[in-house]
Parts: sequence; C-alpha cells; structure tokens
Amino acid sequence: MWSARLRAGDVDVFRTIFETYWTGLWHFARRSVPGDVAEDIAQDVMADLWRRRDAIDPNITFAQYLFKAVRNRVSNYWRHERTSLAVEEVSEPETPIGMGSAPMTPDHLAAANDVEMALAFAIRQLSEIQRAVLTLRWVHEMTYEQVAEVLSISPDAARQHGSRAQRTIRPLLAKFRIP
Amino acid sequence: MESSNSPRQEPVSWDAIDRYLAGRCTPQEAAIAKAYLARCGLSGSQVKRVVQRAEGAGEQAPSTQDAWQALIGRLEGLDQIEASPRGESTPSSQPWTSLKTGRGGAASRTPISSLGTRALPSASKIRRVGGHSLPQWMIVPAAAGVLGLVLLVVAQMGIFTRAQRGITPQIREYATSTGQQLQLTLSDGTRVTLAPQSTLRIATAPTTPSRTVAIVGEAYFDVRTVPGAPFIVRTGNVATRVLGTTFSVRRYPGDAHVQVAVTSGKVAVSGIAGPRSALTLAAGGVGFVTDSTAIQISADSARQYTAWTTGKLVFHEVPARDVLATLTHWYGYQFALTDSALASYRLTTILDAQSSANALGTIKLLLNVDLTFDGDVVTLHPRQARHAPSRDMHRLRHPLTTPNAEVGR
Repeated sequence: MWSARLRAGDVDVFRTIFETYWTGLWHFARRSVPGDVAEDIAQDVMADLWRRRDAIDPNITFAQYLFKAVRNRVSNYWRHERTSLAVEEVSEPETPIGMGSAPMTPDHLAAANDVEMALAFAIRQLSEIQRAVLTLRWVHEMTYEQVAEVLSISPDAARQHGSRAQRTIRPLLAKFRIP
Repeated sequence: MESSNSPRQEPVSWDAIDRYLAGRCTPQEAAIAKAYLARCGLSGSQVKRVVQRAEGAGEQAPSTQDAWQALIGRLEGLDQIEASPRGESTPSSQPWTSLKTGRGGAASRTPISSLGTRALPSASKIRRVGGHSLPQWMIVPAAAGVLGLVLLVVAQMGIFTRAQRGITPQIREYATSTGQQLQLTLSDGTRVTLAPQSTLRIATAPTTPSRTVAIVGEAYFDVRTVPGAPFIVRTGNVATRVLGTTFSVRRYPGDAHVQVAVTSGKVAVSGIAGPRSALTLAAGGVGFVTDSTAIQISADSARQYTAWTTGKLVFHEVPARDVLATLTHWYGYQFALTDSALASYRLTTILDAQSSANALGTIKLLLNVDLTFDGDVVTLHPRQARHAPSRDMHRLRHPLTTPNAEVGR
C-alpha cells in the first residue's frame, strides 16, 4: 500500500521511506566509496525514487529497488573514475576498519566480555560481499533471492556468502555462550 | 549447516537464527533463536545494529534530518510536482527538479532552521521570519483585518511556526492549534485565514515565486489576481486552481473528501481521477472531491461554509458527528456519545465560534442530551432514552430557525 500512496504523490510516505532507508543506503554505498560520494549517491537514489515513482515496479520491494539503485550508482561512479578495478576489489578493506590501529583479537574481546564489540569485530573480518549479504539479509530482512538480485549474484552464491559469514561469527558467539 | 569451524557442537541450527534475523521464521524457530542469542548475551536487534554499524567502516551516516532537508532542497518544488494531477506536465517545476544542488542545497539553509520543531515563537518572531531576506514569496501576519482581535489573542497564546517536515527556506509551515485562527498576507497580496488546528505549507523558490500552498485542515483565501499565474491550493490529492477569487478549502485529517466553497470568482478543482474528479465552481458553489469523484451541491450555499471567518459556525442539516468534529477543532473538546444513534442526527444551527459555552448549550438543547465533563472529554447522554427521536424524526432543527419544531421529540 506504500507503493500506491507513493505513486499518488504522498510526501508523508516518501518521507517515511526516506527515514527508513537513509542510513542503510548510505552505509551500503560507503562500503565502496568515500563518505561524501556515498551521501551524494544515496541522495540521488532517493531523489530518483520520488521523480520516477510512477515507473517503479510495484512487484519489487522498496529495499530491493533502493539498494540495487545504490549498487548501480556505485558501479557508475567507479566507471566514471576510469578505474579498471572491479567494485568488489576496490572496496575490499586491507585491514579491519574502525577498531583502531592495534586490532584486538576475538579472544581479547572475549576476555573483555563485550559480546557486542566482539561481534562487530567478527563482522569487520568478513569480506565485503559477505557483509553486504548479512546486512541485506539481517538488517533489511530480505530473502536470499532478493539479496541475490540486489547484488547481481546467483541466489546460491548469496546463500553461500551468508553461511560463510555465519561460520565466522558462530565460534565467536560460542565463546560467550552460557552453556 | 556445516559446523566444521565450530569449536564445539552447536546446540542450535544456524539456519533458524539466520531466518529469525531475516524476519522469516516460524514462531518455534524464533523462540529457539532468541534463546540461543540470549545465552550469548545478545538480542536480535542488537545483532542487527552491530551489522548495520559495521557497514560504512564504523562511520556515522549523515543525520537523517539533515539529509532530508538537503533532499527537499534539491527536489525544490516537491509541492508543485505533487499538486499537479497525474499526467499533466509541470513546467514550472522542471528547472528545479533537474537542478542538482547536492549537499549545497543544505548549505543554503538560513537561520530559520534554528527554530525548533516545537518552538512557540511570539508574534514578533513570526514577523522576523517573514521579513527575512530570502525571496519575495514571504508571509507576514496581517495586523489588520476582520480577525485583528483574534490575532491578538493568538499572538498571546503563541502560534506554531514550524516546519514539521524539516524547516528549509523552500517549504515553510504555519499552523494553528485548537480555537486559533491566523490571518496571513502572502507576498503577492493574497490573504489567507487559517482555521483552528490547520496547517499551511508554502513552497518557496529562490527564483520563481510560486503561487502554491498546501493545506491540512481548513483555510479561507482572498486571492490577488496575478495575470498568467494561477494560485493553487493543494489538499491531499486535490488541487484547487484560481486566478482571483475568494473561497475556502477544507480537509482535516480523516476527512473523506475535500470541501471547496467559493464566495466570489471562479475556481477549478481537480482530484486524481481525471475528469471524474474535476469541478469548476462559480461564486456560491460548493464542491466535494474524493479520490474517485467530485460532486457539486446546490449553488448559493458557499456562505455557510465560510461563515467561520466571521465568527459563526453555520450548519445546515449536518450529521451530529460532523458538527461535533468541527467543535473539536474550535473548542478542543473531545466528544463521546453514549448512544451512537445520536451521531447521525442532522442538525441545523448557527453556533458562536468564540463561545464554547453557548455552543454546547445549543447542542444540548438540539440533541436533547445531558452533558458530563471529564477533562477535555464531553460525554453526551440522551436525556430520555425512551423518547429518543425516531428514525424519521432525525432532522432536528434549531428552535430559532424553525420555531415550531419540537426539539428532540
């Protein structure tokens, strides 16, 4: 019913969609491009959603449409930057980001008894594509088919990336588990 | 699911946890997954938050509020786009929609942004807002006019000047609360009287003065003619276009239709159903427009729909529920009926917009009810249940307008 109201030009619905997805879209773009570019891309995608609201396929979810659009724009960005690197290669972080220069190991974190930090650490160990799958799957609650569509990979590949990501996380959580 | 990497045998299927976190599991799986995560010291929403934060390398996304304002900035004319019925070209909005300001749109924000969303500025603050140096399309509250007195009261109580949807120089919002009226003069000379519990939003463009406003609630317009530039009032999906005229528009949240009453000149009303929801109203005309249709009621009744601008609330055969809904806007009372049949009795009366006591007294008499007060809630109890008006006697008349009618019998 959101899509019908969006078509009818309901600004409130548009605003709700914006508020629901803004942060997610920015982060999703930020994986692969600098922060200000991520902001421009997320803005462009939202502006497009509004301008093309008549033309949007009602059979796909907003999440699917928006993340796919972000991904396409990220690809275009790199194409325009005349880089020969594939997006995934460019964006692969060389070192886990955001944990400071002296990375803590999961064991350290386990000792610190902060399961949330440890989980964050484990997730940052994942490959870019694995994190993308987990984000779309767990945060944006997509089916693996939808995840696959957004990332332009096969559903089987999406499942595989998901289960590999979970295999990285699993032992870590187990350390914190009360038997 | 493989468990080769696991240091010990997992007591739970990760497929279940995966499906739980994806919001696609059975209630049993949810219970299992929740229990497992809880034993690890986590909740599902915590996991989601951590995953979300891990994206973007731990940086914070720009605030949603700022981003929305920037977007509004570049989608300049959001209102105009929306005001135009489907399929119709919107030439005036094109230069803006194709304009890419990016984050520069946000940078051009002005001090008006500093007004809090819930700020209750004094009248002088509103004037300052109006006099601020941006475009010609400015609003200044009129000090004079039929509602001067009302405005004075309003000024003491404080008027909401807020941009509920983010204050930007492009979209400004003026709102009244219960019982308040606000008279505004737009920069083109058009005068607007805003009824209680109503909001006027105005889209402004730095270069092209727009003549479009959006209304939630009710407002009366005295539109200054500007050759070649129609004045457009948007209410929900309905656009009312005029050149120079006086008319009122009403659509409160929850109203099924938009009501347009024209007291002079001519207006064109268009909904989203093409010709089926389009109307042209001449002086005296009153139209009702829904998403699928438009009807015009007998001519020459517009005055009663605009009488509120002169302090009178005029009802002619209006169902009690609608009368009470209007009184809620004016007096702030919520009404409860112990006998739901009362809601559909049609009332014909003239009430005083300024005196809730008089109005409630009249309602009491007309519906033959007792009133009990509990805070803002007024409950209507039929006085004599056995002698409630029968179905064919449901047209109750005001004793003053129909002296011979027996009220409530």
